[in-house]
Amino acid sequence: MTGSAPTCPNCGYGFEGLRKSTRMHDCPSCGTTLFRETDALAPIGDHGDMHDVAMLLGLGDTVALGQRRYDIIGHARFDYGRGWWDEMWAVSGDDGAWISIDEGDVVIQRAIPDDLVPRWTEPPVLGATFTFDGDDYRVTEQDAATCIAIRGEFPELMQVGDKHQFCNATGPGGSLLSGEFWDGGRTWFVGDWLDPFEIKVERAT
Amino acid sequence: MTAAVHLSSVNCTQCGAGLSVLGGGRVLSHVCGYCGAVLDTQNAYKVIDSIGKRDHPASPVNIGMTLTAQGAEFTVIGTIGMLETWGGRTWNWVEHQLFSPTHGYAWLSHEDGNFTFTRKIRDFPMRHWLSSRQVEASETPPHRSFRGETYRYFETTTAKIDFMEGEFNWRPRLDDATTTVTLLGPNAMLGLVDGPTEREVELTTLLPRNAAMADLGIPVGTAQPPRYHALTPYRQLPEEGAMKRAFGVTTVLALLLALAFSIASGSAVLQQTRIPVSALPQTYSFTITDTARLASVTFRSDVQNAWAVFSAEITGPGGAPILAGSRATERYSGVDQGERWSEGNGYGDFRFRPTQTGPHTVTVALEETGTDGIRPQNAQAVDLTVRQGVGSGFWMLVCAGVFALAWAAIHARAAMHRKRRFAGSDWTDED
Amino acid sequence: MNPFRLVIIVGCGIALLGAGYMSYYGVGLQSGDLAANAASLRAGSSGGGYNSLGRIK
Repeated sequence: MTGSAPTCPNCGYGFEGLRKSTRMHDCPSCGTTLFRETDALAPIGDHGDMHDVAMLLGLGDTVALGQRRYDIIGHARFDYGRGWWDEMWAVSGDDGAWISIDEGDVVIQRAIPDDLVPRWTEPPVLGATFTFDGDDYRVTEQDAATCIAIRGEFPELMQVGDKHQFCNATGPGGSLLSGEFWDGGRTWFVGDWLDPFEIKVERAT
Repeated sequence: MTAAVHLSSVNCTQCGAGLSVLGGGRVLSHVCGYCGAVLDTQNAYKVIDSIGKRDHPASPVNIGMTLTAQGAEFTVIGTIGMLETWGGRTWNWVEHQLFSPTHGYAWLSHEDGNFTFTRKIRDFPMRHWLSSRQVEASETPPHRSFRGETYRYFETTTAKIDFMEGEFNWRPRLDDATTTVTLLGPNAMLGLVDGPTEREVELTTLLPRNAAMADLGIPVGTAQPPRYHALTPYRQLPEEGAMKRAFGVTTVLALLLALAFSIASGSAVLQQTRIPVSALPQTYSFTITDTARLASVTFRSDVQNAWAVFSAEITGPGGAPILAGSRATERYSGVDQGERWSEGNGYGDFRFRPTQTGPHTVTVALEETGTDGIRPQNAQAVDLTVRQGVGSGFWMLVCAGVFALAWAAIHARAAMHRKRRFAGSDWTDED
Repeated sequence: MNPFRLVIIVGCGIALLGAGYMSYYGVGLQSGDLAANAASLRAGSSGGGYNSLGRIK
């Protein structure tokens, strides 16, 4: 086992060309999710069932947004009881962004640095208003979700079965703020809606 | 949310009828087509309202039909009947909620035999919202820019729901009224929808009728012929842009060449100035070297408020007369109601085509003369010029005219199309 | 290049060349009222130049 080409501790599958920023990924051979430590991979669980359905974007696809082309290298699916939505980890050079897809509602978001996040430590209630970066936002959705499947590479630790609360807040000009809350932590993301009819996708072959 | 479980059907919690579940996880209400119960899909299909038994509005589209619109596969999941009453008249039309697992929720409308596809857009700058009140206060038809295109005011519609069946990603209610300000752009309509709870912006495109009907499985032959729709696309002529440019450039080139041909009037082979009229007739000789092009004879006399007719008889190399022509020279001027006017320039000319090269003669004579007006002066002297290699701008001007007409016709066709599209607008200048 | 465009451009070019040829040689532009000689000119015309400019005064 070498540091540059780690192998799956469960089945021995060798991984070539993992991105530096990748903190975790799944093993396409045995379906184990692996957490990347300094020079080895630690198994942390199963990668879950990803039902095969028609998707606007899929793992391995390339999507052109403005001047940049993003490669979809991670795909996580979250269940919120009656349905699910998909989160795609998209990278373009050093830039990484989450593309959320939910029945034609497509949003590209990036994490907000800790010192700038909205003040909420618990998910705000539906209809709550607040200011972020000089703009007024109103909470339009609030619910709980569970991670049900993981494929590909991710910049952060994610496990099937992880539960979190989330909220979406709509701002002026179509911008969208999303907050994720779990025991002992929170992350906020900000970004914009994408028009599913305008997205140019190059499918993985 | 993408539906977690592919429910194929549920039973109406009011009447027990089996209802197909075709929509996704974002469906909020399901209206039973049998008993009219409005069911809350987010809460165990609990009955939250009822519209009772109602007649289904006429539409060739039924729930469960599928079609491809703008590259995405959609299923018809709901039907809404809309009613507009204005000035004692009523209009009815039908809108169908569409669902695509990849592209979400949209609308298919059927009105006057046309099918339109409408979807919500999120990138319209809401600070440029146009309300029906703003439209009424406006002096000229308002317009808005969206994605680089200009959309001009078309109509305002206030309509309410009078029928519903199937699944919806919102909670429609009978008699809920929405006011839509519609702007017409080159390829789409922008609808600014002021609904009971929120403002939304929608983009509507006309679906190719026959393809949409074939897609939905509606026999084309049975349908009513469509009425003209404002989104009927402009049918470009083949290579219309190239034709416009080519015709425009050709017109300009032909005009320039016409000017050049008019200015270059050949080379003089005989030039006699100030021949005393009293000394006429006079004969001069000249040599023709060019028989391919025209030659010309020009008289110029010093008449003032008078006219003088000169003739020229030309003999060829053998000495025999080959042709004769006469031209009047005249010039008049005066003052009429304080305005100075003048007419005629004292010139007269004719053109002929020489048949032989070699020495020619021209005999110039005064044929007739007369005066008209005040302080007349009969011709005292005449200038005679014979030129060869004379061209003409005439055919170039004709060429320019033909291409200018063709260019204008293409523009006129496009302009008429624009005018026709807005013919159905409710804008009046008294607004 | 698209053949239809080629046809348009070639067509415009031919029209210009044709009109140029006709303008250069003055095709059909010799005066129509010329006589074979001065005698027939005098016999056949009373000096039709007068008013040929369409004077209005």
